[in-house]
Amino acid sequence: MSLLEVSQLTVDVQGIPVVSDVRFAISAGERLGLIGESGSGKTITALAIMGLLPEGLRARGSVVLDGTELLSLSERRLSAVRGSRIAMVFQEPMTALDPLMRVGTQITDAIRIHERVGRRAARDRMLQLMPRVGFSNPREQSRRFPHQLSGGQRQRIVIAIAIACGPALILADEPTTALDVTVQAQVLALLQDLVQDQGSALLLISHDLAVVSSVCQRIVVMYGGRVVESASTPELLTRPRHPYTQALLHTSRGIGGNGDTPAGHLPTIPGSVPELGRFPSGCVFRGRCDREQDRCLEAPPTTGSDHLVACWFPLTSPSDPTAAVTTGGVGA
Amino acid sequence: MSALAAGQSHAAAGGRAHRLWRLVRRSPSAMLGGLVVLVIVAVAVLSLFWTPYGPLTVSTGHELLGPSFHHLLGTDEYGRDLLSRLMSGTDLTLLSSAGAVLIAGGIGIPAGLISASKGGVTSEVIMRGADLIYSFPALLAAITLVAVFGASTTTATVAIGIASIPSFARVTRSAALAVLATEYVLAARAYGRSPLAILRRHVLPNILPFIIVQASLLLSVTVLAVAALSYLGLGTPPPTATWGGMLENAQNYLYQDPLMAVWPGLAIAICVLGFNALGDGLRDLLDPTLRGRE
Amino acid sequence: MVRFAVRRLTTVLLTLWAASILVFTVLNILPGTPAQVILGTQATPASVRALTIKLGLNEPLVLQYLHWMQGLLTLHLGNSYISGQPIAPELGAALEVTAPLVVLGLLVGLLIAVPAGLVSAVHHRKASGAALAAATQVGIAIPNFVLGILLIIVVAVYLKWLPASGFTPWSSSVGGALQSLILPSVSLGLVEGAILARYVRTAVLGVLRADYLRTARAKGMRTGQALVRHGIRNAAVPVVTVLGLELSGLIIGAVVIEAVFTLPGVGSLLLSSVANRDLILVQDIVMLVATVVVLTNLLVDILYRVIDPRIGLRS
Repeated sequence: MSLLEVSQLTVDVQGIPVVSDVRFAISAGERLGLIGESGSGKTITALAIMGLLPEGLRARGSVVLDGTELLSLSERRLSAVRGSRIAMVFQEPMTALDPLMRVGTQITDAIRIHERVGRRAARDRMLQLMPRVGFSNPREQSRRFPHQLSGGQRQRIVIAIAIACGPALILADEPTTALDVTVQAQVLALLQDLVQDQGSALLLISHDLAVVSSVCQRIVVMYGGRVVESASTPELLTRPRHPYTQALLHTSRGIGGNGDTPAGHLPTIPGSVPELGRFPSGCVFRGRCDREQDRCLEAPPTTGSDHLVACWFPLTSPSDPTAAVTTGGVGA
Repeated sequence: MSALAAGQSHAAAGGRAHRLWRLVRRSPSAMLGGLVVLVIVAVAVLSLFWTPYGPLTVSTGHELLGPSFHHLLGTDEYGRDLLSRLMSGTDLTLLSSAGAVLIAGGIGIPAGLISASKGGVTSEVIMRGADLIYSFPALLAAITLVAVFGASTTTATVAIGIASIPSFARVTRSAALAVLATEYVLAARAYGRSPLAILRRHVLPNILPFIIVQASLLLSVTVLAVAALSYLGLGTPPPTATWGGMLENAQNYLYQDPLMAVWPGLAIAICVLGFNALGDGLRDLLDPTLRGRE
Repeated sequence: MVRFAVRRLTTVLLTLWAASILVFTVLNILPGTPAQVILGTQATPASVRALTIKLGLNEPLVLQYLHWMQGLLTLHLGNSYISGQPIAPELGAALEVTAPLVVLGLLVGLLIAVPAGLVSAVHHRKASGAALAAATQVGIAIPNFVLGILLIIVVAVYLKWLPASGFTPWSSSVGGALQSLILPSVSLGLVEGAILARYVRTAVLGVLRADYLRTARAKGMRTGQALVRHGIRNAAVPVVTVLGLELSGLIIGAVVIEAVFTLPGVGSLLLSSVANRDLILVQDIVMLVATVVVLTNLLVDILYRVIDPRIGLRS
């Protein structure tokens, strides 16, 4: 049985769907990657799961955590779930923390919201938590304000807040994108270690295939607010079935430097991502796809059991038997 | 300047006016404010040529009348027509407030420009001077000057004008600093354009919108200050009709004729609202970062 | 911290010193007039000269200035040109009216601004929020003295709930004194409150869109809790800055409001001394107000450095 089951999740802005009919499941302790370009609806999907959509956006469909439907929960009941059962790490560590409050207090708050512990006990917990996210001198460092910490340190504070109550599921939305390249790998490794230690499940959202494939066991590919393909990581990397996934793999390989394109020429996906809510009718990848036919004017159904794909003309044979994204690329 | 260049600049001004109008249409606040200001100016101009009665014409037997067909807003304790006095008070209010803004701009804008372009000690001296004036609120400065020179329209206008210099200097300075930091100004410097030419050709046109907004907002402040001074008996002396003076006078008859105090109060409030709304609306239009925040 | 305090204090003292020279110069542009004004136009030149000497107005201006400064620093403010009475006690009595008026006005302003700004920000997409925002816009346009007169018409003339003007001294009845300050402080505070409300609204809107509020909700705080825990402090930073400006507005507004309600405060004293050309009194009061304004700004500057650790006390 799954820990989280998202089905038929649709989010509208003033009647325009920005996320349509998204479905996936995460089982306990599993690490699932959600990948797509910016504007593909990844962040909105995560915020919808958390019930933290910005004003004016409404989610329909179903998000079930541990048998509880989250979308119909009252704000009061939902806030009891947030932070304790399900937590989130945000993209921007620079703005995610209150600039006027000591970072230690912000971690302590996360504990005290959900657990009836005294001020001192919560503080002790916080002081134990800080070394786990890499702060060697918690007494001193917990008294710092966010502006006195580096981006990587702030993101580790945000991660500490997320794991404070030992949630069953952590959503991490581009947790390393805003960081310096040198600390990206560190933070990512830390996150992976922590969820494994705690036995939490992880939903890792990224635009970077290398990042996702190095951490996650399964990958969901989103494009234009829809899930276009989902499979286990090795399966997706070696036998992509959706033309968009294949294109993504090509661009990743190009960056790796061992691709089939001439040196100095970065492979790109032709065309550009349309604005949110301006995707074509029928198949959302229409217009950028080289396999497009008349039938694509109609929305393709999602087919398959373990390896799902939404395409009328999926790639059948392995596109390139030697293909593999360099999974070690992140550790460099 | 050749005729051709003159024609070009004229066309550019026309285009600018057209753009301004297109902008104004997008902001209800600016529209409303602009409309109110237009009406007030129209009334002021009209009052120069025509008022229902003479604003100073005393009429025995018609004292303290309520609103009627003959006297739309009623009469005061000398039988003077309130509407006529209110109308003739309009142009005095506008002239005095606009005069104060002109004084403030005439000194504050150059001071801000010099402070922005020179920097160093000059800039420091100018801005410290602005800080100094700033510690005397407009009304306090006006009261001080009246103590020395006696109450008159000129004293009130000059005093409010001087007290308003800092706000102009600051807005001009910060806007000019932003323009001076742009790359096209750097380019102009690089090919040897003189600082004065840079100020005239690049900085002034670009900060003009900010100056217009500031002038409009400041007008709402000076209207209020002018009215307050004449209410306190420190502005234009009676019997000349002023809004503040009418209000002060009406306060003696609150139990007999409360409406008499309402009219000038309303006139002041509408005038302030008009300039305020215009300035606010224009600022929101000009500042794209503020757009959509309201 | 110490270096910051010393630097700021030096600036304040320099500003006040420059202000005193400015005030003194402006008020002594026309030499010799005070005696003439005091004695009237019929006075003989001899008696004018005698009074001038008696008041010390024949001394060089620099000496007169030093005398005045000495008096200010030792709080011996000298004697009124007109009544001959010492100024300090008179000013003290006036402050007993003006200081409570300003404080009450500020209180009224805050009581209006904080809830109105908060509600209009939180409900900014609803009609109630828009209506509140519009109401503050109108409130800004009504000058406090106009509002004061309107309040007199409604509350004193029609409803007869409160006296239209006058002041019951604190010594005879504290309740009476407070009662005579109700309408004045409401007229004073309402307008400042409307101005402040707009800043509160903008500040709260900024906080509502802040990422750290979302983080707080992701931790499990409800929106209200998160606003209390993180919103108030963050919204306070810009509001406190404006509060300094508002305070000088309140102080100068009190001058006019005292005239509206015939309260025997500093403003009334200033106006009567202007009318009598009692220039030494004018000089003292103007200096007093300027000092309060400058000190208020210093206080605000310190306060908001205390709230916001990013600015810090060192810079």
